[in-house]
Amino acid sequence: MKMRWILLVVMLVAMLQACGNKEYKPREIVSETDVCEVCNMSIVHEDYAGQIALKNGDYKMFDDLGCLVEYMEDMDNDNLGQAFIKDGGGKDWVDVKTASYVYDKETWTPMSYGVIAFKSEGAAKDWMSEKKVGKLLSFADLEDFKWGVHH
Amino acid sequence: MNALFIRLEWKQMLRSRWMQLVAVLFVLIFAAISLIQQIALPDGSSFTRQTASFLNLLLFLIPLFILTIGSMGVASDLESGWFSLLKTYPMTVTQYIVGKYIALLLSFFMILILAFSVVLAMSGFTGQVRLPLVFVGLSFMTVFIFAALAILCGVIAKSRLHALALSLVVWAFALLLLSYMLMAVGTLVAGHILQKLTIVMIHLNPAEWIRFGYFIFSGQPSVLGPSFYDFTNFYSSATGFAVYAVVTLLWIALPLVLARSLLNKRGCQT
Amino acid sequence: MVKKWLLLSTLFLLVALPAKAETMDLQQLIDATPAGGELQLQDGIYKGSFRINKPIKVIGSKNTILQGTAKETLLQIENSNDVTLENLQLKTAKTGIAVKKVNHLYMSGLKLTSMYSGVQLNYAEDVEIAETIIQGIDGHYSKKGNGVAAFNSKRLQMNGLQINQVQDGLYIENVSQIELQNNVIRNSRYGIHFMYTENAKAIENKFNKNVTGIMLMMTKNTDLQRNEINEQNGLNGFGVVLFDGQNIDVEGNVFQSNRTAISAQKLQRSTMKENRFQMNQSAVELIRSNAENSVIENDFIGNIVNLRSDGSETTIQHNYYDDYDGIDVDDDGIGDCSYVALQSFGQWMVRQPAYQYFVESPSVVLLNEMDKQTNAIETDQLVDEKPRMMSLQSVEQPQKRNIGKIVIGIAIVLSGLWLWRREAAI
Repeated sequence: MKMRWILLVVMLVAMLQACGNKEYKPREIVSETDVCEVCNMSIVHEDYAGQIALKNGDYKMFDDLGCLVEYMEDMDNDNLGQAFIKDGGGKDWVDVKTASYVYDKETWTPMSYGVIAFKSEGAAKDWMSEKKVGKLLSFADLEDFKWGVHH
Repeated sequence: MNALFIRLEWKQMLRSRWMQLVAVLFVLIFAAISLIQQIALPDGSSFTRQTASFLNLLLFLIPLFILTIGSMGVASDLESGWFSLLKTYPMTVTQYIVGKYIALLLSFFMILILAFSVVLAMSGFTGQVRLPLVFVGLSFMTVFIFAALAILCGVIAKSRLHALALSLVVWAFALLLLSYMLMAVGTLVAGHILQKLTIVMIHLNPAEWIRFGYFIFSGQPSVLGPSFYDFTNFYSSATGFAVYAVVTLLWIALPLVLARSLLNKRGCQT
Repeated sequence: MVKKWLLLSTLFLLVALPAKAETMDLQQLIDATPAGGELQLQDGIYKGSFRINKPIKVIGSKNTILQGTAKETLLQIENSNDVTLENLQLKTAKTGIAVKKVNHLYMSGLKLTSMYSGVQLNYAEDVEIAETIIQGIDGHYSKKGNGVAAFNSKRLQMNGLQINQVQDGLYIENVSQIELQNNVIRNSRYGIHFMYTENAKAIENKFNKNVTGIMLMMTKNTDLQRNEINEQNGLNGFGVVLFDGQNIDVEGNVFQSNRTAISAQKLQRSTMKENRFQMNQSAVELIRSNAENSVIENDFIGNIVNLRSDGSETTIQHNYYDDYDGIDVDDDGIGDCSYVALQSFGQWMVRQPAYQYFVESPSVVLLNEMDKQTNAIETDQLVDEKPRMMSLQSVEQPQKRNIGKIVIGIAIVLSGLWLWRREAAI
């Protein structure tokens, strides 16, 4: 009987220590279970997904950049580890604070907010000159961006 | 010798007033709950408050009765000197433990069969009471596991009263206190830690193990929520079933083996 | 005069066509039909991809099949008005029918199979789709398109659609005035997905085994009435999600066996009335700053959690709760003391998904009982001061006797008792 308790306590301590490491990595999306923390939509368009790694080791997933930014504004910044967004090609996760953004009213995103992220300003400009639309934004611009009023 | 001992034990068990009382109580409660269950709800295989109450009844009552009766049976053998007397016969400690265990199993199986057949007859009358096979299977599994724990409690206890107290403590921990502690811990730690601790507890707490088995075998693991997706997926696979069987067998075998070695040690001291 | 000419030309076409359908090129037939004309198609398989840019009626027979390839759009309708499609089967395509800038489109009796996405409407007005079957491809919902997707359109009607195995059954974005009635949507991600829509009506639809029955986002002035929303019980299953809506009227629906029947978030000035919530894990969840909503005259039966919220203000009144244990001394049909739905466990579950493991576990049941005692004085949160004593509707259950079960049951009881007596005898 006592053994069980000791085991439980040991495991608890081990796990609490395990989450003490401070390097944040984005995790894979599990399309069966992951839903957006803000709007509850299941994440099926991975190319637009975002995520926040919290300091305590939990992850919050988002289907659209707009939801992620909304969550970041409301959250306690002490818990924030690092926030990631999929880059325009949909391949890599990039840090939201260093990414560049393009807003275009006609570009579809899961929440139809029309803002997509790019690894670098160069990539964003390439996309804009190719499509001949869009407006370049930085992360600071996103914080007072009016989400979802474009229709 | 062993068969004779089991038969003797089983007769004593059935003769005990307490056991007869438990049987009547158990059958009555089962019948009552399954009658209440048939309030006008359409057919459905989902997890509702009614199925939950049935499952909880099973989890509350069977362990409570079996732990108290089983452990006090063993403790009184030890206390009254009946065990010392038995040892003068050519009977090993293993035979004693196994004999006690099987007699306990058989008498509780008897109660379960009585209870289920009453429910079955009632379901014939109203055409509504449903008793899924998963419940029947899990009830027997509960008896298997908690009978082993009951024997262990009886061996550890120093007297009948001590055995009663001990089995109540075990019961309270398995059914209530461990969950409350985990829920309290959950308010302090991150979600992924709570999730891992819960998985650990499912394996370390036989009551949770049986409850978890209900969700797996009734095909509704999604009730446990998305955070346990990988975990329930594993236990819904063929390998998972095998692991489930092994863990269940361990929960039966380990307490019995432990009880045997404790009793052996005690035998050497006296 | 014109009509006669049309009829003649159609007849001429029908007669002039070679008998072997497989060799016909449908595009040539379309091109040959004058604007406003009617094209009757015989049984047969028409392969390729096709375009319609003028007013036309295309009417198929019993087995008129249009077949494309998995990489292309099968039928494009653009820059036109008054187009009618009837009795056509469309097979194999990336998108079955793509519509852009069309007024007055009528489609009926269509069957779309083996395609990534079914019908797409863009800048369309006055569209009616009726009695149409859309069967999606196999595989996970994240790997396929929508049944019917409508963007930037006005005045749409969809009746009698049967949609199975797609991503979103009906995806409605930036549409005003849409009526969805008598549709059946199953095994998909969302049954109906409203985005930025106004003046929509979803009436008498059936939803079964989707992730979410109706997902309503950033939408105003919408009625959801008399729908049957059953078994949205997957890992993230919801009957209806109302996210950022205004003036949403949810009335007379039946929610059964869903994981969560209604989840309301950022919802304003909306009503949930006369719905029946039965056997759901959670019935109504009100989270994230709701305002001026009301939950009235609903039936809550056999749910594990009836109501939970994170503190938003909602009018809760005149509902029936099957776990209400008050009495009605003055016999006015209203319970004498208030019903408090607040459960500490229910509140925890909102915060941390891992808690869901404990749903209705023995420990939580006991906790809820204790809550009931301490809650008796709660007047603020999740309180129904006037709970109804009787539910609005009642479910009739057939009583069937099963003699076999009775006999077997009693036989086992008797032989058990006999054995007990015999064994216990000295």
